[in-house]
Amino acid sequence: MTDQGCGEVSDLLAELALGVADAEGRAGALAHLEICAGCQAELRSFADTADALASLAPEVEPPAGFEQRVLSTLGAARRGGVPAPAGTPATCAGPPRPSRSGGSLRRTHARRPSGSPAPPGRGPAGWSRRARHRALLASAAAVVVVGLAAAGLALSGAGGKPAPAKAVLTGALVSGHRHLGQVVVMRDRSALVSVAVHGEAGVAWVRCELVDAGGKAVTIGKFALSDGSGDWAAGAGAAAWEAHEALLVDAATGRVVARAELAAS
Amino acid sequence: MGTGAEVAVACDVRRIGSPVDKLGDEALLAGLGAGDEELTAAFVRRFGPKVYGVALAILGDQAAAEDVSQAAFERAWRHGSSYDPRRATVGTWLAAVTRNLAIDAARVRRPTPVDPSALLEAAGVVRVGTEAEVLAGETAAELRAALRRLPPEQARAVVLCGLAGLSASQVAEAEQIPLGTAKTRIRTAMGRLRVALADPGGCDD
Ligand SMILES: [Zn+2]
Repeated sequence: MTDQGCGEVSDLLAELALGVADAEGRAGALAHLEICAGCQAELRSFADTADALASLAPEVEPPAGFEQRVLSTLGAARRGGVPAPAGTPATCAGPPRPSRSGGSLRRTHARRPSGSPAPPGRGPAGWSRRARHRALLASAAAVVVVGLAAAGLALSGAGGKPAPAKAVLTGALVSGHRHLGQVVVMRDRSALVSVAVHGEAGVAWVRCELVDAGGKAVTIGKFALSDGSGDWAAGAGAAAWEAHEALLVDAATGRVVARAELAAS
Repeated sequence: MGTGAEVAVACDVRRIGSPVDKLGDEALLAGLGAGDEELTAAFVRRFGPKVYGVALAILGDQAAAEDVSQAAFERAWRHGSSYDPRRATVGTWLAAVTRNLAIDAARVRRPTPVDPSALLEAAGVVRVGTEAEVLAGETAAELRAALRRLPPEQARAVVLCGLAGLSASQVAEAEQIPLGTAKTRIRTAMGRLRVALADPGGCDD
């Protein structure tokens, strides 16, 4: 499964373009797409269809105050603010900041009417839904890379040429003798680390760490497992270039859940 | 996008007093990228219902849909330069950005049951397009027409993925069919829709 060919990947292109391919398939396909211009072109073509389909969703008037909240988020981001760090409760989002214009971008404190309470089992205690979404969305790189990859837009970086094969590291995630998934590390501009894990029941949140040859570990991010499975990606920056091994660590206990030795594919 | 020229055009139009809401989608996107408050507000006003609608179709939860919508606008600001006007309209690009974020967010949520017939109806597939729409050759009208021509089980499968963000295994569960069947339906339907969009007048089967 680490080395998918055109046949297997072309069977998955529609699901990839729709953004719904399962974890394992996507990790393997991304590695192949990185080196196969033919499949990339096919994916792009399917992505156009998938995007047109997404665009058929009926427009819905957002809740009151939506525009102001979007504008204040954008305003804060522009002033160099970053999304609240993972785990920061929504209520601590920071003091209101004066708007330069004092006009339409003024931060409002009107929050949407609180909706239904979060269903049980949807995250560690103390994490508001907003904070969890932020955690999920916070790593801007994850957003970019997952999004673009799913849409088939930016698999080969700026030049539009496929990256050389040695730019991709892959590794099977194992725990003892159990195979739990796969890690793909792109050693290109995106520095994407994509993790697909399944069958690790009993762990709610894992931390992904990249370890260099000297044993130094860098945490890339944290993500949730649902019924022991998860599918996640984030930008690793410079750590992607030094990575020899990837670790998944139970965020609650610090136990190493699985490890993957990385090698050029 | 984000070229100086587009921004300059936008500013010129404003200087002569036209309401920014009359500007084209690409000019607003350029204004968003350039940090223009007025154009940004117009962009959010114009695309809010679309972005929110895409997120809501996938997440089925207002608060989660708003979180994802916010993230989608932020991403449009940061990464508007990845928009390629030759491939899609700004609205379609933004819908895809939102879909990807919503599917990521949905991975940590329990799936909510989705009715594929209601999805088809909400997407305007059931209603036969007006002659004007078909004549105008709008992508959306062509796509709706192509969805109508699909065998119903394929149309259901592909909107469950494409509009509600379900995975093949979730489609299999919802439709009570084997996973392989679900995957085949999705793949076949996407293939036909792709052909229909590439060759709108042609017969796709
Ligand atoms: Zn290939």
